[in-house]
Amino acid sequence: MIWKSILTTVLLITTYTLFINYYGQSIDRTAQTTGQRNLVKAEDYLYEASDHCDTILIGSSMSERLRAERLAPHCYNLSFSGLSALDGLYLIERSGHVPKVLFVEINSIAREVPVSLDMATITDSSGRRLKQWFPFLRQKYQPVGVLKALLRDWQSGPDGTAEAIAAARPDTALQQKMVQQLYNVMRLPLSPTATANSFRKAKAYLSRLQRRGTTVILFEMPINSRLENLLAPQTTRQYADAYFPAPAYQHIALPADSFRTSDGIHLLYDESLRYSNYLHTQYQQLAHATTRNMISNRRAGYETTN
Amino acid sequence: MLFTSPEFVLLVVCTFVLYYLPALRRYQVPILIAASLYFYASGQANLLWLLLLSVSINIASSYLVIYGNPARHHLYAVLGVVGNLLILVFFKYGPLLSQTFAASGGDVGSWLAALPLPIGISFFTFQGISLVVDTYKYRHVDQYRSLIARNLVKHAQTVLFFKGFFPQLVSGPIVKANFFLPQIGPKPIQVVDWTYCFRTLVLGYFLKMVVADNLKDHTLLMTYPYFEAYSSFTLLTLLFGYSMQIFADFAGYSLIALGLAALFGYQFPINFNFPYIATSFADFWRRWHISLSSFLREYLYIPLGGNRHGTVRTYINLLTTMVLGGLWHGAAWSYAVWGLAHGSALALERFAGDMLGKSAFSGFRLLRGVLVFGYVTLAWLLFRLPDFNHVLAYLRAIVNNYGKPHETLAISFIVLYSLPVILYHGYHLVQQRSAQPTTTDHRYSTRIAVVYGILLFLIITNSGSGGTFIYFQF
Repeated sequence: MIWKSILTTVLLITTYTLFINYYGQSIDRTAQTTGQRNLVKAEDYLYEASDHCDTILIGSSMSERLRAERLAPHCYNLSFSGLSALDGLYLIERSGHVPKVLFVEINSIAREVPVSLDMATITDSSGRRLKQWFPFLRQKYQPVGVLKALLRDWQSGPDGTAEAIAAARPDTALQQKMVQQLYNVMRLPLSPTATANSFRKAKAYLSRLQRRGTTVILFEMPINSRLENLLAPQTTRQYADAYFPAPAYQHIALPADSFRTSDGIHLLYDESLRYSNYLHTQYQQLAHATTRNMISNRRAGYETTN
Repeated sequence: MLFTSPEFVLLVVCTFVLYYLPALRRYQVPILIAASLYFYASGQANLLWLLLLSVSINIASSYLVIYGNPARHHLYAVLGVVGNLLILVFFKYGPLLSQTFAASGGDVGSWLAALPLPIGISFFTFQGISLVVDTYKYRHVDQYRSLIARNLVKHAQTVLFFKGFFPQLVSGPIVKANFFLPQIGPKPIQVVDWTYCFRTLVLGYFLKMVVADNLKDHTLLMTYPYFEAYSSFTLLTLLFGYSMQIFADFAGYSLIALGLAALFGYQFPINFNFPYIATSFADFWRRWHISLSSFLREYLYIPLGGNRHGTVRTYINLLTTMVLGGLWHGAAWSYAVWGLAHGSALALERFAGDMLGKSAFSGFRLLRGVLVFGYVTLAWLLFRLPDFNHVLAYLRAIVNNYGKPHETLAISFIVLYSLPVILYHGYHLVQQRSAQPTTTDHRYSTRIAVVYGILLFLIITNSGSGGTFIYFQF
């Protein structure tokens, strides 16, 4: 009985591996939950995106909604729901990849979440080797998730989910309750020790990346206007200015106009598109300014020499 | 160290190899003790001393009950039980008691709240109590006396092994001394029933890693205040999913414990006997966490008087046992309420049986089964949401949110991952009613082999996110 069972398992694994090899690339959005979406994203970054994406965006669920393709070419959104920018930094460092440009959401840096068991596991070197040889071990190719993706695509088309998200309207009663709940939390002071510790960690990660040539651009995600000037967000901005001063670190300031959210901190779908465009414009300006500085520095150096 | 971690698998493999080496045959029990202590220390090295303290209390009290001054046997037994309970009360219930009865913000309360909760304390404490009480009860029975070695070192080894054996150390089943001690002895590798171990371990890991861990990721939606946005049907489905999850998590763990123990030649009692097909509350408690319910019956309900002192006293004993059984699960009043809910159901059922006669309920099996399952599932809300206000909010949302849109995706996943539990119970029902296939039925055994092959495939490819067993917190 045992051998028959093991043989069945081997046959199933072989068949499934062949299926993934032939059809895997066309199967997308297989994550079943938010947590799994994070893991799929992390694995996609480790096994695919890090080879060809030189611009990375890191943050929490707030910046997860930003459209990377609008931000910059070859940009990968490595923001994780329920986690923070520190998790993205942890992953980048463990991957060995050095992005050319790194967008860092400052809102979540103070929220230090212990590195999850799964995030630590997927960056483990022996696990990574196994998953490179056996893709069926990756979260993306879990049979139930693949089945869900195939059924969804068959039913509504690959863009069906995006249309549904765009059409969704927020529950205003719940929204007010959540804004109030966030208000009660955000008007309280952050723990100085924990906050300083988180920013120190982030600075350590970013300094190492900068030394290897990464341009770091910090930005803030807009939140409900009732919340944005409370003690916690203000303190976060102060820490960001203190730990990541210009010109070593580039900053994109919040725009003057306000943005609508679904629950106080997460942008509505069309607002996330609008903010992605804003960041893109600001990034272009920063890039031009940097180029102008480089040219004028080179000219100054040339004139000095001559 | 989780049962589902690569480190644990390595520990089991290494222990297994050493255990069955002919040259080390004499040291089988010390090898298992060493592995067990390493297993416990890997999770909470700083609390290993507590496990050893608890073991020491049991070594001393059980030894003295047999070999100490006969006039003081009762005292030694009482001290042993009280010693075990003091450890449990101090570490587990200290924060709750100080929060409830002491002035808020007091130093003692804060200090108690900061104490770490030793993993498995509820389980190994109860096993210790079982040892002391059984030793006292059977102190004049030669067969039992012979299990308590005259040599104190040998006795200490036996007790340490009984309490610390790693498959059941942190989450049971609660093994009684009179069941386990007679099994201790040399084990040749021929005693291993490989088919039983394979089936039990595969099924256990499947229930835990594929069913429970995936359901856990979906029932995360049962978090306040987010659940207030979901429709009544979604909320009911989530609750149903949680009911499946807690069964799969705990039954899965118990099966893994049984399979692991069998690898080393030891038998544990089954802990779950298809509880969700129960057609009465009494039947449910004969099927769910059997080791706990039988412990409570033997060491609490019967000593309190059981049903021997009249009807009113019987109900009081029943309620007391269930409330304490509820509190055993966690140091929060919501668990006491959970115990009270079950105690009330048992008492009401008994009352109805006494008033109307047991035959009044012999029909309507399906309806009774649905009612029992529904009530049990509703009561699980107290486990999922320890804050009682959140429980009330959840119930209000179930009543009020009938007009909200459904979370179709979450509902689909919950139904899908609950299906194995439903099929598991359904298959047992069908097996009960039809003729049992003989073990020589080739097609049947091939079908079973294929099923286990599929389960193994899903364990490898479709496990949920890693997480501790729900009952680790108890």
